Amino acid sequence: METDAIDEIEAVRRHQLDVHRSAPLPAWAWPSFGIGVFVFLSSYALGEAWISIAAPIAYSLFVGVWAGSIVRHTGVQGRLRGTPRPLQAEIVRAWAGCALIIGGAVALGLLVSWVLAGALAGIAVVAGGRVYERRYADRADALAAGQAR
Amino acid sequence: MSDARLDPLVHAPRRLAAMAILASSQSVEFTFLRDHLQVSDSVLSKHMKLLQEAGYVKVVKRGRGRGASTWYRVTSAGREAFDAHVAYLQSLVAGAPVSLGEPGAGD
Repeated sequence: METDAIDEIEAVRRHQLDVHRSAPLPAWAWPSFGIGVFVFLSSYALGEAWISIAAPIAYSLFVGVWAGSIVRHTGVQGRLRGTPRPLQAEIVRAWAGCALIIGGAVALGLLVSWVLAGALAGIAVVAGGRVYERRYADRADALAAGQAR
Repeated sequence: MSDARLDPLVHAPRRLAAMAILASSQSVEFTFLRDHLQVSDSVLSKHMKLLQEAGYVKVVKRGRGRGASTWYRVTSAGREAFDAHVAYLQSLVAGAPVSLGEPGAGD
């Protein structure tokens, strides 16, 4: 009976980890997000006052549609609270990286050019997103194999 | 912390797997569950209907026509039952005294 319980607990753990392992992002996810970041930041190059209000609203809507499309594509909407700690740490790292990219891009936009800032931020988001995705998958695999620290 | 309690409805392997996936997600689409559990549409529907009738799972239909999809979301009662069942399994492993809970549907 105890062995059965151990097997069942292990099965529960495996199924829960599979939520994170078997729902890879579609290939268009990061390129489309990078384009969104480019359009958002480079729109400030127009220098129009209304852009400063319209651009964040449009960008927020874009992020919502982007996230919704990914959920529909993968068939699973994750839950941060139920995510294992090592994977949560990867998500926090990704958000920190994103904030760093956006912060750097805003500084570059104010000092040099919004179009250049948008282009560099877009590229950084695509590259960083793919690194995050690979690290996340590796962490999830390690957890599944019971090797996570 | 949930009370350790055997839940016969959750105990069935397919439903335990489905509840494990649902408990670690906000919502899950029918095909994701079906592919993951490697069961037919009808078998999954049967299991999900039992969970739905017990109030453990909520069904959300999204879209219309060919693009329509069925999504499942675990309810707070379902999450509580799942947590209690996992606690029951853990207490078995630890050798602690446990409650066998109320009789319910088996597999």
